[in-house]
Amino acid sequence: VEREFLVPPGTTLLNALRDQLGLTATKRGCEQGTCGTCTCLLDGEAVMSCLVPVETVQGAAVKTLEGVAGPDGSLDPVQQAFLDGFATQCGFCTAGMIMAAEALLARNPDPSREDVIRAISGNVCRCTGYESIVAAILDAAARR
Amino acid sequence: MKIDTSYFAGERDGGHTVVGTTVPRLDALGHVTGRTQFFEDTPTTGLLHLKMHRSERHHATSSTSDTSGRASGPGVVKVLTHADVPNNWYTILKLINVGYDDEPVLAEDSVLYRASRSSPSSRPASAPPRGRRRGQGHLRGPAGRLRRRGGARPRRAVSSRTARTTSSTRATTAGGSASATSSRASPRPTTSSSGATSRADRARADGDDRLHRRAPARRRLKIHSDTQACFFTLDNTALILEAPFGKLQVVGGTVGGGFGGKVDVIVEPIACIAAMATNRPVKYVYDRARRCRSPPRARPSGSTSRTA
Repeated sequence: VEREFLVPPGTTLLNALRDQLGLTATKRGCEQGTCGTCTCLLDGEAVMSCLVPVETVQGAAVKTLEGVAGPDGSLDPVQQAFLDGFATQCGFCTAGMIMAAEALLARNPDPSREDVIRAISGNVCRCTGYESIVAAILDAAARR
Repeated sequence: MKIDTSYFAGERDGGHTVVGTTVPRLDALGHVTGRTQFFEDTPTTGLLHLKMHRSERHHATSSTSDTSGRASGPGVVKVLTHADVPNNWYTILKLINVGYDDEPVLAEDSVLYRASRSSPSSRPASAPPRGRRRGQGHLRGPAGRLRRRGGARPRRAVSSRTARTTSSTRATTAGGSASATSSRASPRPTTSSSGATSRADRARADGDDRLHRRAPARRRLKIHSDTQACFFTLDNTALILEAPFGKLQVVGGTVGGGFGGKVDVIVEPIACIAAMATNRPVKYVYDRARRCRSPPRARPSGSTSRTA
């Protein structure tokens, strides 16, 4: 879906998504690029949207967690693996984790455990620990 | 593993099948699809943004308070100072039973960044003692008991030991004034507050003590917060607002670990006061510079980068 909107200078992609477009699945955490909960895909690459000035993404494809599930609401394998593997607790980091996993699996359908750890190294989870998340991403890769 | 089901056998209806099975979390579907509503995801209309103005000088003594220019600024709906805070005491030390209330929520007579060791002398001799409300007793329930037991006391000198151990807390809680604006534009600086008269005296002189009387007596305030301690936040807010606990509702608690707010405990009370003053929903926001200096949901961290 193409969207056109006006924002004040200096608005970040994160704030544009949440405040201008109402796409609140992308979470506002630290807003300084350390927690990763605002991760979304920019032309297929995982970026921390709190660090991206929105004026630099004109014409680019932005994918957030809202766009991961199928049009009929069916869950993506990554989402299903997170669900089945109990890879969520409070859920605040989940959007960023799933988007980082989506980027990883798009470029590397068969990642190693080390690849997964590297892919989510910019994402912080304060609840579960990372084991269930790593396991869920590996599980998603196997399902795809 | 064999499960002994002989206990309370007469009370079992045969429908208890959880043990030994995998039960999906009820909230997990919302988490993986992004539909879970966290504290900041609740849609509101007429939302105002509140920004705190911090003094640029540590330990400064405030001599005047002039917010007139600020109040007429573009987009500014209301300017709050210490005079708007019903019980201008930072109550956290009393709540956790480790000390006296020895600093204000919003600065009155001096700026308590880091630590102040000369607080008593900085107050005018004619100023009434800060503990004038002790024993007033119009609060009911735990709030009243807390007040009577802990008691608001005249400000006292802070020991050097206390000063060291509480330095980071002071740096984040001693404020000056706050502005509620209808945009996210950064407000122009306001001067800090005055200690020439007491908060109550100033409120009466201004004819503006309606905050205290009007709300939240008639309404219930709903607070959406990322706090990890909803009841603590409720207690703290109720004490500062001088409001019965039943008039407040804290919605939150779903954000875990370090994502939950732990440090800046004046956020909720000040946002409540702004909401009461403007009769609008208010969101406390940090500008980017402040987020980077003292991020509310991140801890100090270092990073190493390499350029190709």
